[in-house]
Amino acid sequence: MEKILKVEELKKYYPVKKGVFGRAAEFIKAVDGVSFSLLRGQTLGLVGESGCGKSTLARTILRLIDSDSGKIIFKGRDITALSHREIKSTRKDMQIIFQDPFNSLDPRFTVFGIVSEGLRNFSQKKSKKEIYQKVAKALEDVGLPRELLSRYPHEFSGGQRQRISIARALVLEPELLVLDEPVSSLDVSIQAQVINLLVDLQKKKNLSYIFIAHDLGIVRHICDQVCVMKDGKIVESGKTEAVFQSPGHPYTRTLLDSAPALPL
Amino acid sequence: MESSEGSFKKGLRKLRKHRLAVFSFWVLLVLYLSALFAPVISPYHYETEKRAFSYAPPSRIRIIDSEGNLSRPFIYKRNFQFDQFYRRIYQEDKSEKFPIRFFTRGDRYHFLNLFETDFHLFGVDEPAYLNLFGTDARGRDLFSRVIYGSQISLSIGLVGVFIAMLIGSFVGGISGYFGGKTDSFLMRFAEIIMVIPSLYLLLSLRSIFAYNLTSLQMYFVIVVIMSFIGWPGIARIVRGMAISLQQREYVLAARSLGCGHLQIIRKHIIPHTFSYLIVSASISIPGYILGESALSLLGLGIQDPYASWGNLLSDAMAIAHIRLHPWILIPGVFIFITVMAFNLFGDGLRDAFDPRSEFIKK
Repeated sequence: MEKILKVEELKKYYPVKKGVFGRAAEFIKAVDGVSFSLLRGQTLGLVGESGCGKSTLARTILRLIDSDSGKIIFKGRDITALSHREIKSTRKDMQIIFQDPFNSLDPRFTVFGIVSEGLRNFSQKKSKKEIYQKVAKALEDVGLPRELLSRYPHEFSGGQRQRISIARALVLEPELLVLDEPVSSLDVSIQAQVINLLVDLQKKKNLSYIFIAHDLGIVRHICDQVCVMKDGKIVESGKTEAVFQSPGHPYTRTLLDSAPALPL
Repeated sequence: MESSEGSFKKGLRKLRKHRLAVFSFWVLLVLYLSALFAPVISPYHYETEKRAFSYAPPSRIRIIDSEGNLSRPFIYKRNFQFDQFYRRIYQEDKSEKFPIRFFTRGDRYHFLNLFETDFHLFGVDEPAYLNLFGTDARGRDLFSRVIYGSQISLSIGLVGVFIAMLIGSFVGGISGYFGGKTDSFLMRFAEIIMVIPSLYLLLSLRSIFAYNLTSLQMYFVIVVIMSFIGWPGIARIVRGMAISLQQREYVLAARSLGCGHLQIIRKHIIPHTFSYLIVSASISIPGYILGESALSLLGLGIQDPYASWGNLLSDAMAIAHIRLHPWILIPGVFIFITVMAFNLFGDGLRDAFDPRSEFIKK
């Protein structure tokens, strides 16, 4: 199978400024030499405690944050080397879903405005009707009727909002979807619905996922591979079942032991 | 979280309960409407002068004539004599009544550059001279000039604030969004403008431009100067909001949807500062009106024969004139009323919409 994404020795340090002149005396190593690869159509889980650099890693892969060193090879091309102008065409193929659906949708836009924004950026030539058709299709893909297009985000529940953000990403027909704790802020019953939706969409559209979570149950349920992160480093990685059955690193064992045993 | 619409309606309801703000709103509405319909409302053209009526006091409008009968409002024609200091002493000639006519004909004018007419809301027949607020040195009707002057004085505030808001929100948005060196540079520049006392800045900026300009040029020069002084305050506020907005996830999402930086500032950042901008605009408009008045009062702004409240007041700079002809202070009353109304209305707006607390809540 084709490797859609390969990350090599990726680093992102944040300077901690001290003193009058703000000289960077120390660095917070948010992402510290991370390497992994992801096959097309598969799901890679990223687990670890809060503040271990999962979200920074995700944003760095999408080049929402510029990395300090290392390579991100997406579809055979190193995107860390691309200029801001060149990156725009790549952005279409990699999208992100954020954790908090209340924060990730601009409250002043209608659903149509939100979902169509990417389309309008990437394909200016498309007619209004075409855009409308695509947006309506994307909305139906995530299980929302097209009548809701003129509503505002505040009129929706958390689960519906998360569906809107999924539609916003999917309308661009991406190949890689980064899911940054997409269900952590939802009710348990809604979590299952959204997860099932994501799994269905993956099968239908042959999507590749990077799934960031701290709920190990869900990770075990949907991920093919899993990487355990601690302090910006990947301490253990491998096939999900293997890692869950016989964790090698003591930190992984702590994580597994501390997870509440919920049947899923 | 609340919607923009929902909180707007709620704010409007709160605003309606704020009595002073509602009252101020109506005062402002009347003032702006009378500025719009100035040629209709004022009985004379602002340039119409009758030298014989120099510094004539306000006309006495009567409803009871010399025989003690009730009649429709009328005035008497006035004649003058000189006293021993060659001051004009006006006396009413009670032989003939001149009723105040409504919807009458008078000086010709172009209404809003659309059509020419001589229609006036009210007036009197010649040779009587109706002066609700008295006349100035050259015998021009002060009421008409105050109404015409409000066109300049009131619009300069709106236009100036609008331009200052455009510049301020753009610079503030860029500054807050990009942060770092861009931010330091832009904000230090804004602070430099802010720390210079505004009157000196006003005068020194005025000195950049030629002294003798046409009235239209002068108008734009004043607007440019005023908005140049006004934008840093707005920019600082917008910057503060942009810093916090820039960390929202929908801004990141917009990045991954292929939006450029400027597009994000324009579509996802500045619109969220609108509620604050509108409140701060209504509070800062008085500053623009006062600035125009200050320039015109000093003879550096709108020039005679055009009227603005500031240059009408410049007549009142000599204390002797105020003692002898106190009615020439009336334009000052209008400035006072307008500034108060804007302040009270702005206060009401702020209380009702309270964008800062709303901002924290989000």
